[in-house]
Amino acid sequence: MRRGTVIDLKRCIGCYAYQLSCKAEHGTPPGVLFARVLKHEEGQYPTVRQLFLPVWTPMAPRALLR
Amino acid sequence: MIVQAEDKPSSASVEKRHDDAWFASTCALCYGTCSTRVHRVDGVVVKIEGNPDSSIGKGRLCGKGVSGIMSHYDPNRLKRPLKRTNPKKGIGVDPGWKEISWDEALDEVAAVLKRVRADDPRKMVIQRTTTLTSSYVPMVAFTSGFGTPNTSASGGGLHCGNGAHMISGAMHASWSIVPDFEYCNYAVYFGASKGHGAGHASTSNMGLAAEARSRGMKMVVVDPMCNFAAAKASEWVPIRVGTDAALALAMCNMLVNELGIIDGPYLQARTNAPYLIGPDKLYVRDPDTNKPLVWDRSAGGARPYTDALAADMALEGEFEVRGIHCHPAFHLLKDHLQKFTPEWAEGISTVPAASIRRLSREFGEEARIGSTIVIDGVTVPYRPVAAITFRGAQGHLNSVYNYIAIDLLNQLVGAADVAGSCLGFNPACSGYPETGRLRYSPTPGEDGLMVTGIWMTRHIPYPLAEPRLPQTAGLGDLFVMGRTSPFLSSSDQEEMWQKFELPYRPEVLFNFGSNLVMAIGNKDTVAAALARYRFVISIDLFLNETSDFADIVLPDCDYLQSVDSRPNFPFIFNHPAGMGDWCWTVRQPVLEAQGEQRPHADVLMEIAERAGFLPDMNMALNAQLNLEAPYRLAPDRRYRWEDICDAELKNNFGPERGLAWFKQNGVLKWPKKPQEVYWRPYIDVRVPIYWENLVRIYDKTTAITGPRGLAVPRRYYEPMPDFNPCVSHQCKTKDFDFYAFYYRDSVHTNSYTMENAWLDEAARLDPYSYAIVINRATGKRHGLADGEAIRVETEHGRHVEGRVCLSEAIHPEGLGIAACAGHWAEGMPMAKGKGVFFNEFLELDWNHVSPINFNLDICAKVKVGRIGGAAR
Repeated sequence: MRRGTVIDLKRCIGCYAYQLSCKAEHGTPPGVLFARVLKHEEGQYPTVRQLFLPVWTPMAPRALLR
Repeated sequence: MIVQAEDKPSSASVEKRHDDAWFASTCALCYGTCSTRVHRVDGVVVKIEGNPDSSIGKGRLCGKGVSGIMSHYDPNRLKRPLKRTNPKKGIGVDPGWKEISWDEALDEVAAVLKRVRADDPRKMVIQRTTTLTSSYVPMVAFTSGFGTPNTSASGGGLHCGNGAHMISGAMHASWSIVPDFEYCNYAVYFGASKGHGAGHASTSNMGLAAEARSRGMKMVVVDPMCNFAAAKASEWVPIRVGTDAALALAMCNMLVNELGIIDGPYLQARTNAPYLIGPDKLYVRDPDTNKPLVWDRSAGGARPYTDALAADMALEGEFEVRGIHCHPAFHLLKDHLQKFTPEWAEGISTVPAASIRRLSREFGEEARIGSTIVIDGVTVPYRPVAAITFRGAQGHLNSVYNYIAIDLLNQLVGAADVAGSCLGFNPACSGYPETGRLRYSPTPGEDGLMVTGIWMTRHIPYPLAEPRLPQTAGLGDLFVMGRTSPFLSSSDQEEMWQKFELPYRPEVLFNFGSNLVMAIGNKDTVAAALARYRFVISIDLFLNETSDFADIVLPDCDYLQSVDSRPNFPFIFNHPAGMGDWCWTVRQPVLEAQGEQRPHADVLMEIAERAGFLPDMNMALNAQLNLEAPYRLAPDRRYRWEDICDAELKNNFGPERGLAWFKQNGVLKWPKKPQEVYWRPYIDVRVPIYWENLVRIYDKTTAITGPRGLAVPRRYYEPMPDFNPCVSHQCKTKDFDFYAFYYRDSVHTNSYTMENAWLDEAARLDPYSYAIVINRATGKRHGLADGEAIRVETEHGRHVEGRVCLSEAIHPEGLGIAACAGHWAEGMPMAKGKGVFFNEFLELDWNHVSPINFNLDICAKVKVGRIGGAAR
């Protein structure tokens, strides 16, 4: 069974708690992040949206995802 | 979740004994002071989380909070008292630090303080960081005990507070305002990020705002940049920097003069809208009682506002009272607003007139004037709209009117401290039920206008003190709307002091944790002011840019090593508004001091004892903490800070609920009542929609400034809000095309957190945090490519350099820089060279502060060019 993460993106405000809590939990060294919050602009000024996307990174051990 | 009981962590055995325990405590990575649980294993903190038992955050903690470990265990933390050996002071000049003993350091500090206090205590300036709220009580008591009126809160007040806190206090009896997230359906944010990762009740508001969005609250965010708040908004309204009042005034005009949407009964009963105003712009008063008069429609005559029924008070009309031609204040406001057409506002703010009309209509219609709602069995008025603002909109020359104009939207539709509306943070509290302590509420003051029930400082929003020839170095006793003053650091301070005959000059600076050189304005002006002090004492965690000017530096314990008995009190500052529970928390020490670090509160008391003013400090603590027998402090006894915390808790909550109880149980909660949260209909106070007192203050202030050659423009002191442009709006110099502004990054607090390894890593990966953000199309027109190094320069020749981020999410004229970054001190190597030092753009003098409340004009017109290339 693979594990997934369900996140209501409407609630995310990009405070990085997701990324940093994971850092704190696993104590990963500098440059190694199992989870990240990505920021992405969609559209053109002034019709633009700013998206915050909490994601797993390819660095995350497979064991964490199973 | 179980918060385990724990022995006193200051026992010497903590580091050696095997332990595995969680402690209920509070965060201090920003002044939000959210509740935490800290996991310690074998004397080492391994995890910090939110505390779900507490109402303060409800188990949530932001990225900064969970990273606190990295600030604590930073090897660059100060561990020993230091004394300079190089008498020369300057930016980047090595002070030649020498380690000294605490005894030696405290002896020297006490000798300096003793001498100054005997000479003239006003010669000492006391400066405090705003980041650590627990420093407030001991620092204020130390200041009062010493006896100097010269005190400041770093860049805090100058940047965020002079407008926001004073007007919020006058209108909502609170330090700040938020939407009633649980019931609000339509919130308009003007330059504010409440609920989006920063500030007062930070994670509490994040949770509440997220729930509100999920429920369907429409959120319109007016901001030059689409970042945290605007990213989550239903609608982002890009605006030219510093023009928020133009938009708000046009919306007020639409409500009053085009849509006719006003809450008449609210204006009659809870504002000074019916007070009669004469041709001198002042209240027409009853000759016997001196009370302002209203026109009583049923009596057909003028009567004191206390004698007529609110429903009978005329809001419009022309009247003749004892030969004086007069109008109700609302009548004048209605006329005054007519000039602020949407087309006029578009020209100033760039917000399209059609959008202004639509937003006004939506706001007015969503207010549902006249409706009520039943909450916990109590029927209260229901106005589910809120206009919210904070640092961004009020950080300009027009600070006072920007805030007044935005809040006027709430006042016009009665959306003030009722269900769904704009709320102050807990302006009224019935107290802790078992002891009756902590009870406070707004009261009617002079002319029936509201006086706050509780306040953070001695400088209350209303009534204001009488302007006088200044005795304070900040000149706040002449400019009585001002809180924090630029004149403690400004380039023209000596000129101002001479002009106003200040009978002394500051000689000693006592600094707690403030990095002044970065926190206020451009570094050279602040550095020059710092170098003028004969002696500077700094208590700090790191050697920072300001340490270069200190004579003695004392190493502090941090928040994981300290105790605090009131992290979230006064409730008007940092406790979530709206329904839910009242919640009292504590901070407890989880770790011992490293090296010779000592907690600042105990150090302050020791200095007071050595310098001979401990009895005065103890008396100040009794007053500040409202301690009553048997918990009052004896004047001549030296206490530990922990004892004082214990006394405060028992004084408030009874003998069984002292510090030991709170250390074990973490939080004490009791339910809020609708009459506390939605207090406005229950408390007979009025707030001004017509600021008559400004007219009187202007006359009294200029009676002093005029003869001494300082012109104070009247247009900032008129009784009704207007739009006064920033200095940047008046710059027409060729190539100076951008309005530079700064914004709060949710991953950083002031200048402190860039030294945190995890937060620095997050900020380096973030596309915006350490960059200079410019609109993509505008940047391309200027020949700039994303990521290239640029130089940004002001008309005064001050400049910064950094990487440009070309973005669609910023106004075409804007240039956005995050936080207070760009450190250069060796003592914070992680922070050094990261990000951009925005405050370098800020001039510090009379011409760059609001001439009514001293708020800095926190924007600058700048020129942008490639490094090594031509401008443009």
